[in-house]
Amino acid sequence: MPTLPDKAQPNTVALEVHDLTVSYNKRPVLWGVDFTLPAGALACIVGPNGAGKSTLIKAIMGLLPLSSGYAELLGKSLQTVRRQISYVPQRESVDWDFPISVREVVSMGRLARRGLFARSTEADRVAIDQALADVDLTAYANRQISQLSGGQQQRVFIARALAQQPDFFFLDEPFAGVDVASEAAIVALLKRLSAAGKTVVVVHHDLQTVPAYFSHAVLLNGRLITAGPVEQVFTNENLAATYGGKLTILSKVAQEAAGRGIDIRKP
Amino acid sequence: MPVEISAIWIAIVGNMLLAGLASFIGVLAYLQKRSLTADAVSHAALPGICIAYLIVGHKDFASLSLGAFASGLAALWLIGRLSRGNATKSDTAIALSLTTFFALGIFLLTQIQHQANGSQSGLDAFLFGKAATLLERDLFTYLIFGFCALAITLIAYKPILFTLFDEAYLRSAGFPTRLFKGLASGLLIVAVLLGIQSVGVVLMAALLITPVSAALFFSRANRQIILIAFVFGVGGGLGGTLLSYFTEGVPTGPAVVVSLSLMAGLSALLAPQRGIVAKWWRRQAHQLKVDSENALKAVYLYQERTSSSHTSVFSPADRIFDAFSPRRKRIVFTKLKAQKQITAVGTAYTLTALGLTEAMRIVRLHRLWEIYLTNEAGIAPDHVHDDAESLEHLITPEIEQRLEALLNYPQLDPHQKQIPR
Repeated sequence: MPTLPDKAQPNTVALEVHDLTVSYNKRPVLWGVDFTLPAGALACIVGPNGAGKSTLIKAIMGLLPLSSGYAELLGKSLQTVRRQISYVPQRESVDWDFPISVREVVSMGRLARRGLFARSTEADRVAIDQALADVDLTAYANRQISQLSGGQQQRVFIARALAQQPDFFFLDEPFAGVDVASEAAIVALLKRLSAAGKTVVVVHHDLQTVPAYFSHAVLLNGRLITAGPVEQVFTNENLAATYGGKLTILSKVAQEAAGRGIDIRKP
Repeated sequence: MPVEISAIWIAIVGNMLLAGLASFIGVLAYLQKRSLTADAVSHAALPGICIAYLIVGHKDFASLSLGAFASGLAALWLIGRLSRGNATKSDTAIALSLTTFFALGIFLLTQIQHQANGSQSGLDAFLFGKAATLLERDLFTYLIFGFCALAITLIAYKPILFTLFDEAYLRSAGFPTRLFKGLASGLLIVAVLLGIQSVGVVLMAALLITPVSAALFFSRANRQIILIAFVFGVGGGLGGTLLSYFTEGVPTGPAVVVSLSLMAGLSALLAPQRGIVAKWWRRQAHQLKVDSENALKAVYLYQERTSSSHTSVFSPADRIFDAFSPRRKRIVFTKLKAQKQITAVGTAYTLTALGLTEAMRIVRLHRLWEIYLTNEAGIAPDHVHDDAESLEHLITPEIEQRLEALLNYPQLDPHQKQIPR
């Protein structure tokens, strides 16, 4: 297991999101989101379909342009800490018939850590082996990814993130289409990472499992409903606010903005 | 004629080099799912060549290449631009670009040929290629361009491959994925450029796409695909050039493509795992296994029904084998005899000890599976027979053991028949 990084002590703010607004084709999908998460948090982002959950983590990682606001990691801008962040995209976002082996996919994590032209070293090999062992895929290392089941595919993605040995993990629906055994193994792994001081943010769908799996929750529906420790924010009242339908006037205005091609955050 | 021989050699070496390089870059085009785009880009080179000729006024390799590169790039841009909106899907965008650029190219080419001296321009060679027009000078250019493109491809291979697989991940880690995608597109255009003189714009895409299609019958690992595609490409370049030299009036392009297609066809037919013959052979072998197992089972069930001894005799003419055609019967009996599962007694046959064990195994699997479907899957007993009929031939000893353990070594099947052990 990766060791506790000395810079990320518990209770320090690991992630700060401030006034984040994101638009698709001029249509705002996230409005002025503000929250912080402490180092070592195992947090879920929950909300109804179209609430902007994936958009939020993509925006934090700089994969989408921001209309306003910023995200800071360990008090630094994204650019300076990029290599310490690992992204686990939705499983459906890639073509699993692509001719590439499990080991090659995991080795992407090493490329992400070391940069383009560094030659691969013994440390890389060890990290890849360890990552494969952590997700129990050692026996599959040389298989083509097209031969894997859904749960195995998800674990390959997680192994790639582990091989990068980052301080932050952003996972987009890691439990979608995954069997029960794989889900349990992934949750145990995420808890170990969190215990080791890593900050883990997961886009999640299953409200039932939130209290058992996560320490923190971010409730989202186009705007932030609330964010904080699960036992404080995961209340029926907040859930009703999150899932009780969209703010109809807000989405109407967003439609208007898109229709007229106006970027609401730019004068 | 020493001049003739050296011309052949230049053409052969040039075309092998070109086809090898094209097949390498073709793998990248395949991985981008841009085979059709490659076709559009190569057709789009024609108007660029014609415009460059009109400006420069003579056939100059460098300026024609520049023209071809520019119009190839323009076609790529147009495809990207058209398919970005909702109005045009990408296949439509590709078809639109291909036809528009190619039509413009043919229009200009015809104009040039009607000019004074135009018919001597030799530009029509760009349609289907003419390896004979390859000069030593061109070969040198090929070598330089070819090695540069190869070097770039090799150095940038991993980032390009990873970008094509999962761009979002690499971008999240701060890599310039647009550059990698641009590089892949640039290489595609360069490969097209190098090929148009000897293969022609119309058929150039085949040089990119056919070798990788053939290679996919042999492997699904990216490095192996590239290696195999490369070998096919070089072979096609060699075969095509020879074919074009030794047949009267056949341009190089069609000759190379014909030999590549031939190799792809043979791969589809003969490849060890995924080839048509291999698949057919596996199906035949399985069918023969199923048939002989069914024959043994028929004997066992008959003996069980009539309570006759396991050494009683049977003959191919018996009614229990009515399901088999006479020809099938002969094949099955020959196989069972060869495997010593049945033995001849005069004109009839009897099960050997080996054959009896095998027959009992089949019946056991059938009945175990029926119990499994009835008890564990909750399917009605009168519905389970057909599934068991096909699955009994697929259950491995390992699965059998797990079935036995799960069902707690039962004695009777759902139809109250004894399970033979």
